[in-house]
Amino acid sequence: MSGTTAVFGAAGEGHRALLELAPRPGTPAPRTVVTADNLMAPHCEAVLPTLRRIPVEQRFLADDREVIALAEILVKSGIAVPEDWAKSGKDATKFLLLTVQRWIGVHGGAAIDRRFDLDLALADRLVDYSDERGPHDTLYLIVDPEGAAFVLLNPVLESLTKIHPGLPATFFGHFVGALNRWVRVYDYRDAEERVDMLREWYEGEENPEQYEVPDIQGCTPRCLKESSLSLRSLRDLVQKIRSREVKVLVRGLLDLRAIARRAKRPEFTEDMGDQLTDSNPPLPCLLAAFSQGDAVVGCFDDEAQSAMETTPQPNLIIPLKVSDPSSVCQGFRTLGVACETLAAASRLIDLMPGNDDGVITREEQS
Amino acid sequence: MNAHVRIGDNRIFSLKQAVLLYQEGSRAFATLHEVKCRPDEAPYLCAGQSVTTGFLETLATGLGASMAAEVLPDHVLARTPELIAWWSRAQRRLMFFSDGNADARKLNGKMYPHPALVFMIHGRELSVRALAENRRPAAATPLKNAPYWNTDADGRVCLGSMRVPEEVSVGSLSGWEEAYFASEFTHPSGAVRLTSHPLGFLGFWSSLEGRRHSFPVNFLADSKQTLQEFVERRGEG
Repeated sequence: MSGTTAVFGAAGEGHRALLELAPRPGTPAPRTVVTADNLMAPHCEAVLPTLRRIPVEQRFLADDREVIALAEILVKSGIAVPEDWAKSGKDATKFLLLTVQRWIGVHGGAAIDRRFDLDLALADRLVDYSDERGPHDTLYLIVDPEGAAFVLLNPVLESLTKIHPGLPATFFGHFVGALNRWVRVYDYRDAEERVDMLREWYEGEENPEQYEVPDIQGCTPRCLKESSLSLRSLRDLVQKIRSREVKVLVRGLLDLRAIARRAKRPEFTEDMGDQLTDSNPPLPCLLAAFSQGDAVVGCFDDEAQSAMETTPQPNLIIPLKVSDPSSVCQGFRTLGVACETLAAASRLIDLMPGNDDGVITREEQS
Repeated sequence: MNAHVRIGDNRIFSLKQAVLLYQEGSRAFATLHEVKCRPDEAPYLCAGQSVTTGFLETLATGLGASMAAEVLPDHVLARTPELIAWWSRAQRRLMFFSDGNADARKLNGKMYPHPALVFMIHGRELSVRALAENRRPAAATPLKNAPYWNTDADGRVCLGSMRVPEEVSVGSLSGWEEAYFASEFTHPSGAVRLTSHPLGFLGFWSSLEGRRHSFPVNFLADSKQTLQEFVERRGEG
């Protein structure tokens, strides 16, 4: 028997390592009676193996000192929960992973996952495959998108125009501004920059009039050109709004703004720059378009073609000094604010009309 | 939000996908399945999709079987994602010996003629063989044992503290060669016939000290291996 046949032989041929087949449902019947089950050929079906005894996780462990030092700080500061130690199988790396997952969970993880597709890495370097780690003693919390979330703005802007001419621009400014404090939002201004760049490129070419570029101005609602309301005026206005839907929206906006300002985004330091030389801009976590398939979406798709040509900068980098427990606590607090901002934005998008399609379905964890 | 911890070399690998192979006689196909996990239940496989060539390419890339396109110079003899072999002309080179052996100490830091050599890197492992003729070998060219300590019967070099280049690429080959001769030869590696000279290894190199003319290839020991066999055997690993 060839090696291949030996591996893929039928179940029950010996003691080879085979996947356990899912039990086939049978018809219970007395032994003395020949059942239809025995007379008929078994029907054709695909039977997938269950993975009952297959390990779903493999761990590679090397030097644990830094991991243990961080875990100790997190337990002492109350960020980590000692019960997770048993759950982690007494593995410090897994313990940190559970701690980070728990921290995200208590800071709005479920709401974030409803709209955003993000990765959070606790790492010793900013570029995963780089040979060079960050400075000694420094770890990073790094937030990056797996894919960009999507928000449709036209329906909400139209409903706000009816309340006050300055409300759409105010809403847009605070919504995008609050998120941009923590992650990158791609909006019509990014698209305009892209178009300007494209124009510069083709202006030197022959017959520049033959080139077409997305019409960003044409798709941008005029209401965004209106002057924004001051924060005070906005707070006054919300008291006077009769429409319950709009009132909830504006309150959600004020919540988002306030949450986003609870912490300061960490500065981009020289050592971060050293690790990220020749990198592309961060990948957007959210695409803010006016309507489905508009010119902003067109520019976004165009930019996406080359976004990964060189390593993109992370959206958010929070450094942690393992030798300084206060830096670790501050870093996790900052992460908490970033998560709560994203969660508040996700809840606000839920309230914005026309955005039923952007919900990410997560039946099970894959 | 998906969380990951990447500190040092510690990693937690989670089962994400499974490939199932179906076979009938000499024909086979493969399906790729997502693995789903639910709390306190066995993970299960979702519906599969046919494995495509693109998937296999991605898998191979992920497993490290990819390399940047390189223009190969004349001295490169073989190249795969895991292996690179090249040859180097006969020349005079400086040799260093550790002072653990009194006879070897006398040979330290002097110039000697060397035969043409074939070097090969497989992964991070360096091997070396010698050539009887000072010209580019062909696949069927018989190879000789490299007449050096720290090099075993298969031609594998014990790197020890040798400062070899970080990368393995066409551009780094001279660095590997220089590192080999810049480190000290300290001891013979296993049972290997390094030379057929009647005075043995140390006597042979003593006789070459200060010698101006070419390396006496008649004292090279046969490796019982052609170039093709040398690269194929390492390529199998």
